[in-house]
Amino acid sequence: MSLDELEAEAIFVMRETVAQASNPVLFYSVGKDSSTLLHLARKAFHPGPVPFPLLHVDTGWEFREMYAFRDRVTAELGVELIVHLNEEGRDAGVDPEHPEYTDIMKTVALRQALDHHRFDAGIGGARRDEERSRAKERVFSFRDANHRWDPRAQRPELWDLYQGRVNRGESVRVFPLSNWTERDVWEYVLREGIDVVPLYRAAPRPTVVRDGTLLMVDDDRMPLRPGEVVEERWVRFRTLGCYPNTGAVESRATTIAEVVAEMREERRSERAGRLIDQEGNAAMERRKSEGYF
Amino acid sequence: MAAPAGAATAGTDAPTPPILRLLVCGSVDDGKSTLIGRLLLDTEQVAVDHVAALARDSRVHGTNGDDLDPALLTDGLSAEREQGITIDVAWRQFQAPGRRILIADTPGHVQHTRNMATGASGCRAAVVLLDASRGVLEQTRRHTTVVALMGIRRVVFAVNKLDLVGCDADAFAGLATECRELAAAVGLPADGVDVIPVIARDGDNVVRPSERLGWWDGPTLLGLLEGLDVGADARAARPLRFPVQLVVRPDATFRGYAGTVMAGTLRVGDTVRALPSGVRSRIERIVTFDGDLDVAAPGTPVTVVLADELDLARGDLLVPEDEPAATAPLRSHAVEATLVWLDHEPYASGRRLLLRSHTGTSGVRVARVAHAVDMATLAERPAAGIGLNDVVRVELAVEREHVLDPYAREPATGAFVLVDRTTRATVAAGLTVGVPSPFDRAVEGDMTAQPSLVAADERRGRLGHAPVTVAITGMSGTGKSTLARTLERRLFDLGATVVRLDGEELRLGLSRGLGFGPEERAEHLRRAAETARLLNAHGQLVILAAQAPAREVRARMAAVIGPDRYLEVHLHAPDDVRRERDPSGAHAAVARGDAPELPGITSGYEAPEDPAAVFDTSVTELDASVEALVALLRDRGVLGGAA
Repeated sequence: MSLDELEAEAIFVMRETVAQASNPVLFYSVGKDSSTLLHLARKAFHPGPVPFPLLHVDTGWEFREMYAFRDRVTAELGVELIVHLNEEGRDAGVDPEHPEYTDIMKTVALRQALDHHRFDAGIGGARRDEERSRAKERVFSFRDANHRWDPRAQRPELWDLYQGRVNRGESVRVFPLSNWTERDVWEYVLREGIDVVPLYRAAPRPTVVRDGTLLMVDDDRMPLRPGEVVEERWVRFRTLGCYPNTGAVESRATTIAEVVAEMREERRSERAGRLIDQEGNAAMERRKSEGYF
Repeated sequence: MAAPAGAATAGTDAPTPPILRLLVCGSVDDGKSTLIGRLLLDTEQVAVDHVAALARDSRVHGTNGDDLDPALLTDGLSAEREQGITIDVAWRQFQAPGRRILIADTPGHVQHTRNMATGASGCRAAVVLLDASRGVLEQTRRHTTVVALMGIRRVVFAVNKLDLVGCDADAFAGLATECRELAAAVGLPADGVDVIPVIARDGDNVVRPSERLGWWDGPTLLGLLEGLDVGADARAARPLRFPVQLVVRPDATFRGYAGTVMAGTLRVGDTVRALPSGVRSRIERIVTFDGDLDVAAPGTPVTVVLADELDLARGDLLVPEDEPAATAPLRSHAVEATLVWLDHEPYASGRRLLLRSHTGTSGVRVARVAHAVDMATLAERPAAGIGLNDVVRVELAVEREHVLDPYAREPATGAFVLVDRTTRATVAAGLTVGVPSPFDRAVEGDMTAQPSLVAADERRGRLGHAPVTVAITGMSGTGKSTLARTLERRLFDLGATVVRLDGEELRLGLSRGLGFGPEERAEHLRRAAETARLLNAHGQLVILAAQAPAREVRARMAAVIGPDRYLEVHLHAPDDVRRERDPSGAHAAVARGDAPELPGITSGYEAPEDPAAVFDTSVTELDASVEALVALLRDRGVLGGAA
């Protein structure tokens, strides 16, 4: 029963974070990994409340359904939600077409929020199977006062004796789902009946094909390029981010069970649908060393 | 957020073996990354877009011509792709048909013992890779030694590149013998070792059987790994270890202790003892999000509610109420341990360190470096200092009394790390050996003994006998004190100058305040032995009567006194006789349930293997025993002249 073992490990890691950190936070991106983390947090601290706030770094370019889902779920569960948007970036008109978009609206925005709230531990949903450089990441990953990750100066991580204490200004990123695969997350979502954004389930949606990727036209925030024709297609999403950069897959899987069944056959990585990850092999490594989680 | 419970049908969750956490290690160029990449590729675990990226990378960085270079799948950092070596521990999940396998890919070069130990600490089994054309190298020895040191008991030697020796069955057989000898030399159990031939580059016998290795009738590497039993069930059979991770106190009505069962079983209704306080309470509830449990097995995260308000804190340890002293956790300020030094900065006295384990955190310093361990030969050698990649046996002085188990007995509570208090970096991995024997305790400062101006011969000439210590050992009620007193009288009457040391009497003064646990008992006996040594040095005959239940401690006493001067006498008597005699009321106290500890009853008594004399005191008359001992002393030339 791999899922039970993975769940136990994640709960242990979350408890350890709360025991060691003075001001922890959960990075909540509204996606399935975040929903899974939130569910695990409820389990870890039951019957107590989730003992940390959720931080959503909002680009202003998320799918509308994500905002609705975020507000509904956090209200239902009574958890504290902090939303941070890089307002300077927005005011400067940085949109997903902007070459520095990811850096300004995600990396810089996250640093702003961490500095402002002085969080010393951030729980994130990253998994080691996502990308090659992630395989070297610790479960408790140390960041210096500039939020930098130095792969050559990582703290050795022995047994399950995680070292989460840091000096002032430094922080750790904590990854309870390190050893999970995308399929594990889906199997777990199914098993536990975890509520996820409806975009993960297939439905007829307005789409365009851009640079070989299926994009959903969520609303008029995304201007169409000349020649692009909006067509309704049955699609769902494997990952969710800012919608002009997030590719959909064609699917008729309208329930989580059907999504899981499709996942069992899937041969492409989930990030295959993300435009920002295709910049080159070292892209993720570089972004991480700059503070992107 | 809960969906209808009916929606949560977990598909085909057939009973699968537990996740295999597998260390893969090998020397540089043995093909470690290639082997791991091959396992992933041939079980079709690699996403098609990653395979496409691999194909691009293989043309640029690959070492396999135009073919895919599987090694590039796992060499994750751009720096190491350029250098072609793995510089850190990489973790890979991988779903084999029959099992989830989690691989720790660790570097092979000598300066990275540190990373190997780190990878090994999270693993239950190891694959040690070697190059058939180069055989067992020093690196192979080092890797196997680290694997054994870190407590891994299931090891597969994968003999790679058999094509370089013509896929020859005899060459493989020779290497297999070498591997098994190596495994035995580092203390791995023979039934925990497999040797298997592979050609990782081409995938022979990794996932698929190989035609070139047609003579091999054993399993493929993957087949072997899928079925590997790593003894996960053994955890349940060991005594309960539940370290409190977090106190959960949402309101005034609920106080629970969150944690994971590390060993043994937690059961509602069971009485447990909390360490270090030692207080007892009953498990009232085992709370989880999905409902209360009656029983929690090892690995289960739960929140425990006790029947009494104990006010436990993080690091407190729940153990069985009635755990015998032989397996109970150690509680000590002094810890004997093996350290693997991980920091680039060598250890310097005065460096402020913390010891961190599941049972808490405390300030710590290295009190004594006993020796270093040579990782290539396992030999002990003098330690000049403690630097990066060194493995040393040390005695630690812990500020706060620490609760630990020997790592070999219980890894969960035997493992610890040392953390630099200033940088907060993890500087060493620690494996608890035990509590150092009081006999080994370091001497503080520079102390010298002054030689006497009186020679031993002069004393012997005046006293008329040689100085020896007659050490009478046996369980309570065997008549040690009686024999000691009668023998004292008899020797005095013979003209000897004799001093009788009775264990119980020493506890009234010299050993006052010492308890009956193994460590304090050893300290009590060390003091008795040191006293006997001093008296012997001054020519006196000594009769020492003490239970001294541990063979190891008696050996240390003999060493203090001097083997030539130590005469061991073993007394025994049947249970009912000893219970009847019960000179100090100890048996009665045990029967009432309020005795601390009684060797032979509540804990073990190890009978001497080769005593100078042995008497069953329910059979041999007292006077007969005394005369037999006098005769023995005459035989040995102790008594002569005046006596």
